[in-house]
Amino acid sequence: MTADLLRARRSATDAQAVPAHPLPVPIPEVREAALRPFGRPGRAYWVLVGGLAVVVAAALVAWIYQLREGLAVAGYNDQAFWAIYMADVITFIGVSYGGAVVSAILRLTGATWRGPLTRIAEATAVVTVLVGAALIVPHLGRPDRIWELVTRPQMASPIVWDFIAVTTYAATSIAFFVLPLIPDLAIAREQLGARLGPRRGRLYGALVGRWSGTPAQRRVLRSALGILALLVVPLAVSVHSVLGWSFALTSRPWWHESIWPPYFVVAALYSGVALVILVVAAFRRGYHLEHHITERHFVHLAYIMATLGALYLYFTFADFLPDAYVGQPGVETVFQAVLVGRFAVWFWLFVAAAGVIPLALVALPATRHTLGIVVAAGLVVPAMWLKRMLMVTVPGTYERVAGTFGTYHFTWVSVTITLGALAAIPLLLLLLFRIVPILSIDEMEELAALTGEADLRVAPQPLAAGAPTPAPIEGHQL
Amino acid sequence: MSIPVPGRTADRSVRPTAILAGVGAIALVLLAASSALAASAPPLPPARLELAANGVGSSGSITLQALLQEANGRPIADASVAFFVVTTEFGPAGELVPLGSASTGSGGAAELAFTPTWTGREQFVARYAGSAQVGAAQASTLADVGIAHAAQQAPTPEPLDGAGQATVIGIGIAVVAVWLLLAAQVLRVWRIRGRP
Amino acid sequence: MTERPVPAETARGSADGGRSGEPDGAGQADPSISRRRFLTGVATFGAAVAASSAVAPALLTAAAPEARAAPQASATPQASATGSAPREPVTKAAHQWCMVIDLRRCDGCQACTMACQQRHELEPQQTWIKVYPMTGASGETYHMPRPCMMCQNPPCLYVCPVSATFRTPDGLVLVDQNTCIGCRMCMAACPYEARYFNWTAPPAGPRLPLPPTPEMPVPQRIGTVGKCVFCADRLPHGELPACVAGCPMGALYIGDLVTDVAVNGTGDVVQLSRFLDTNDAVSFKPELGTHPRVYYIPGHGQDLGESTP
Repeated sequence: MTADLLRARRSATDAQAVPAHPLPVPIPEVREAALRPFGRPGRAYWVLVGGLAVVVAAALVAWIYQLREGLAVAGYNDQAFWAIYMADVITFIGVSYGGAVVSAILRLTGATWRGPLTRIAEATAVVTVLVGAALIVPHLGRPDRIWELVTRPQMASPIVWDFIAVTTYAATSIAFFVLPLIPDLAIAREQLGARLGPRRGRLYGALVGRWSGTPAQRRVLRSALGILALLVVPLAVSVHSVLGWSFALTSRPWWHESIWPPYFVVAALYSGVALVILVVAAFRRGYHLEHHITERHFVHLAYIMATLGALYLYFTFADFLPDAYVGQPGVETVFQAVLVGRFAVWFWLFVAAAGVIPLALVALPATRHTLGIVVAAGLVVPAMWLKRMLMVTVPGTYERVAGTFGTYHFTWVSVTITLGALAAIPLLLLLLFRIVPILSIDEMEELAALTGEADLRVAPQPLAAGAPTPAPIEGHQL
Repeated sequence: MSIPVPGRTADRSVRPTAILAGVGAIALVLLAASSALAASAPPLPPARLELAANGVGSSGSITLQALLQEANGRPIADASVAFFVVTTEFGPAGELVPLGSASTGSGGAAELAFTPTWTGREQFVARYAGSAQVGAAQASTLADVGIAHAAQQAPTPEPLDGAGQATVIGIGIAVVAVWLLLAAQVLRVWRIRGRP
Repeated sequence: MTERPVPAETARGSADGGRSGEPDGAGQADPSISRRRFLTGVATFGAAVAASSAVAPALLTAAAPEARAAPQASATPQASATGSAPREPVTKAAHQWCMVIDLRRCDGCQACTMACQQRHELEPQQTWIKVYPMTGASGETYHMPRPCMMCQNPPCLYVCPVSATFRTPDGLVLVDQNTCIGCRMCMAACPYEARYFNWTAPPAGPRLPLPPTPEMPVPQRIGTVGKCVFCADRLPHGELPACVAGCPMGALYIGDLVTDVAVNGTGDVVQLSRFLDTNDAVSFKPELGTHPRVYYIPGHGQDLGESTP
């Protein structure tokens, strides 16, 4: 507490040096809420973690089985050579972009409401990009040779550039996640004291170093984060563009479209913002963060999501129109299958679930509340996976010599691996927020000082050691 | 090295169709023989065919010259002479590659220009199928080919040659710059963090 | 299928900084021919075909005395007798393999497919040469065998992330199954659907005493891509690919663009360029710029007595 007071006092003297960014004022409620997941977890937490871990373990078993038997057990054949895993990779790496947009773009545009969202968004970005990159492994026929991408890359191949782009993006998003942790971990160490525990203590010590929040340190951190935010956005664009080019650089009908890379970028943003809404809503409810994450945040996110959704629908139309209008043989057959043929049910389901319904839910004032927005986001994420599945599988199963379609069959192996990847995201987030604060304390305090809300928030009762904490959730204890 | 000139390469496999063709051919031969017996015509005197390969080693183009005469030396005009070269590319037994045919002039000479496609000692063959008056004939000659040209045409550059490489280099530089920038930011924070 | 096949080497630089020239070795230092090609061939494939080298000593003794260096002075390209475009002077021993498929003779019996599958110990669905029943513009039907097109600009080669697909100096596009990571990008890129993946382990059976090579990839390896290889292990020894030898109709010809010769399995020998020219041969999907090395002579089985309906 004394250090905080000292810092607060220093902030007054340094105010002239850094007028735009006053030093943060400690906000006890923020600190308490951010460290809430550190408490002893309740039964619900362990049931959830255990259940998710079982699904992930099942996926690992399925993958080992697939390694022994070959990709045939995942439903693949020569007429369906790319299918579910490719759709998974695109979806998972795609949703990672949501974290980047919320955190980086809002930081760059100076949106002050971003404060309570950035940590969850960045963590989601890191976790999903790692899971998405890991999903490339079951996609490969010989994952044991994946190191050849490093030792003998063929630079004309889009796969090599996928690898470079994903690696670069993952490294940058990890840095973008870790660097803002430094002040937060310093605060957490200070707040928790002995309750930090030896393992967290060592980790925090390694990361925090001698960070004390001096103006010089803050200036460097702020500028570094600004540059990283600038980097993350084009890197995320590059990742999804290269993923799009893996398809567009072939001569296959509906893949060979110049609109595909930006189409992939918009799809990633759209599904990513939707996933951020879902993750934020889940943790808000689980850890009772309603005081900090309000309906206002959801409405803001929903506006971004709706804008991207409208853009995605427009891109979808723009993708189909030229080739459908000209009507070249191969493309025509594929579009026929997608729009009115055997895949039409799924395509129009996507239009409803990721287009019409979410847009309506956000547009209508009656449903523009937290629940409506969460429902909209909950429709968008699976519907966007469905769209990716159609985009990968329909042209992939089209036999270009005979003009016929092959068939991809879902199997328990491919479905289990997909579900395992899906379960890995909340599992990793639940475990991660046991190590790092769920809210970015420092940023929130800084933003509060900037907007003048600090005076309102630093209200009468400072959180003294041993003071009663707000009601623990599901047995959470500090 | 001279390879005995194969009449026609032996079939590599005996298949029903080949057998059928063989049976048909035998029947035809029998038919022809019986009709010949019926006419009781004497066997035709064979023609005389000479073959020379000119221009070898100088220009890369060879002129195959055939001279077709009756047995008594009278030139045969307006007759078609087929030219071949022997290849061992698809089997050491050697096979005749048809190079085309030419008609003999009034002097009985026929010419065919040929650009050899490999160097070394080549064997050329000329054939005359025969007519109602004279029988078939065949001649062959050897030539040391010094200059040869691949039958393929020279490559033509494509419009965007080299553009891909420039793109890769450009993007590669950008990627390196991104990594340097990233490392610099992390190091900056790392250093200032450690400063007391 | 309207483009006239011009057996021209069109060297497109791949966007590859590291492996300059590898895909287009054929285009840059082009082929020459001397009888030494047997020597070179034997040397190149020596390791792979040690077992079948019973023929080689005979070839060596026969060819060696005649081997003579191609003249260095002949660097000026000369107009050929049959075309105006310049030809590459012969500077080294090489072949440029190609295939000619005479659709007038194909009756769709699939003997080629079976011969190939037997030789390469393939699963029934792995039709490295596949016979497609086709319908022409006026409703006539015909059969079209589709081997690997051995493109001069192979899209599969450019997208391979680890150079597992490569192009030999003889113009063959092969896959190194010891390198392939199984990403299947090449299957996406091939416009002819000529690539097949080993979704399961290859069927058990008697094995050759030799390890699989790109030229003779038997047995196939699980998790990697395989495709038609023109029986690259046979060609240097003057043997015909399994499909060509196995075609009872003589519809398949194996040819060499350099020496201008093509032969089929029933003993027909033709001068390649003239054969293509006089029969109006076409390429498959020429608009894609892949420059296939398989030429089709259009038809619908006329030589078998079939006619346009």
